[in-house]
Amino acid sequence: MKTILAAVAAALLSFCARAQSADELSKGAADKSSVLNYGMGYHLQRFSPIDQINKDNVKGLVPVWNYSYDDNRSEESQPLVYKGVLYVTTNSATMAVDAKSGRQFWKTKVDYPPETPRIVCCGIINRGAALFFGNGRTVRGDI
Amino acid sequence: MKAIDPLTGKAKWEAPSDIPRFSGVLSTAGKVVFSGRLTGEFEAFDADTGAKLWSFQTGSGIEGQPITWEQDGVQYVAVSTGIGGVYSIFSGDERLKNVPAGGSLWVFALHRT
Repeated sequence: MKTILAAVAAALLSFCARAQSADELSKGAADKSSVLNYGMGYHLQRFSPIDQINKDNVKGLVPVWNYSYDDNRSEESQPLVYKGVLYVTTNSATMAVDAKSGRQFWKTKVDYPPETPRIVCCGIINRGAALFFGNGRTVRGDI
Repeated sequence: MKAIDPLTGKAKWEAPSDIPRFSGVLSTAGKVVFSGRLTGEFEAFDADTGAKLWSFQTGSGIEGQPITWEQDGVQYVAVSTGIGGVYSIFSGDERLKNVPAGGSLWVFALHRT
């Protein structure tokens, strides 16, 4: 049980995204090519200065690709974007996907105790990864 | 969903939802606000008026958080879809009974001719 509670806490803590360097992290949404922080920056404003899509042309928005999570639980992850790769999580896996083509680079599955769904309230979810500076590692909570 | 002036606390506009909205919200300098519905529609609103400008059915309920970035001169918007959070599990809301599970990631951009 303690293990499971720790896993839940870790999942909640995974809100906090870490990236490749402190400089890159502090840029937030001002770095238009990346999404490194939960909430699009330390200000957590969920605002982007990009204006190519605007209120006059947004009607022309079309899907570019769709990537299946092969998963039937709630998907509440905020993807991260770094150097043309999307990093995204489900309760059961962490994935790296080519931002332009939607092709999967890799998928790492997460194992948790089979009794977890009977104990954890409100669905088994994960709310996103963190990129760890230095060696390009991806970090996430258990579930 | 409400647009609230942080200096006064007063709502500038309101876009009501009959079913609670669990998706995150993204706003951009293009004066567009993106968010999703538990019934699967990914939507764009006019940041000034709250008028709905665009909608796309993603195939499951949206509880994820939209993001945007620019790559090779193209602005992309991404959101995860996949129902199964607290409201959909425990509310017993009959309006969600025909919303299928099944998670996926959608990416959008302006159509290029």
